[in-house]
Amino acid sequence: MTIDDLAGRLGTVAGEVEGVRAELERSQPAPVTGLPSREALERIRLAWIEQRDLAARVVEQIRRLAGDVAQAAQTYRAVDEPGPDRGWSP
Amino acid sequence: MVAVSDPLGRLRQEAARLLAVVDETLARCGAPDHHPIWPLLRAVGLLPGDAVTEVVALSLEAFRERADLLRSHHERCAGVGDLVRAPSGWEGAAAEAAGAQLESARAGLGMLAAHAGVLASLLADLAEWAGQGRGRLARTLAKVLTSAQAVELTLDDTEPGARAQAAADIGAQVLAEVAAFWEGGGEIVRDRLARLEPEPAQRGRLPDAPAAGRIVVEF
Repeated sequence: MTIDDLAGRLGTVAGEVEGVRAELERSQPAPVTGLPSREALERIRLAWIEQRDLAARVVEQIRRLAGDVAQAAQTYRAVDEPGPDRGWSP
Repeated sequence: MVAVSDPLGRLRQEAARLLAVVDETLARCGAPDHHPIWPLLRAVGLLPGDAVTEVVALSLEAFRERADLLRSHHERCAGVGDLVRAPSGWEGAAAEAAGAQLESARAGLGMLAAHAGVLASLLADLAEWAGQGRGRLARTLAKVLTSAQAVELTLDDTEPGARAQAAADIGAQVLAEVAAFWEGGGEIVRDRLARLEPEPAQRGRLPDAPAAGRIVVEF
């Protein structure tokens, strides 16, 4: 696997988690609709929202990482002398 | 979605008239002092008819659908974790920074998968709890529909004190079942959600933890 491959894989993972996030966004925890006064069910609603927000943070993190990895691969390719790093282009 | 195909859904229609009389009598006449219905009214916060309507309106299918969705999220997030690994043999400062960030990303994915699994289990358990609770409430409604108190409430010549007593007796039986229903669900939620807390070892590696060093290629 090359560093370019890793960037591609990270893009795939970010897309998968974004799909999860979008499904959490679309599928609101309907069982609690209309019953906000029930503490237990309100906690489910909050846990659902926290899960959606966690997914959003993971997506953002992986996308940023994919960008950094892609940039590193581009830099490695752009220079003649690889410096101290090894194994970046097997 | 209101389920009408199970015993509670069918009995609810039969019981609606009686419960309307119970609610109206309690609202108009109150209940005898020290009757067991008083703490139940405070605990549930609704008159018996409204309390039953709330339970009837709870959709088991909605719980099940969301449990299935979260189960699929668990599998998808766990499945992609292995893709988040650095190429073997990559060494240097950039590789080290990437390794730290990849570890953090795997921790985030792992937590997402774990939480999805816990929530899926919670919602599946709630569907089962709701189904069992609906069955118990249906049996309670069947019991009060055929009770002597129900007869008292349907007779025109029942004196007001006896009507209040009958309404309170029926209301107490119904509310006790509803209170147990909500308490049972609350216990499941409290127990399962306690498992969502991140373990101390995981907290420092979550996506919102301080970012690992940037990946910088040095020459």
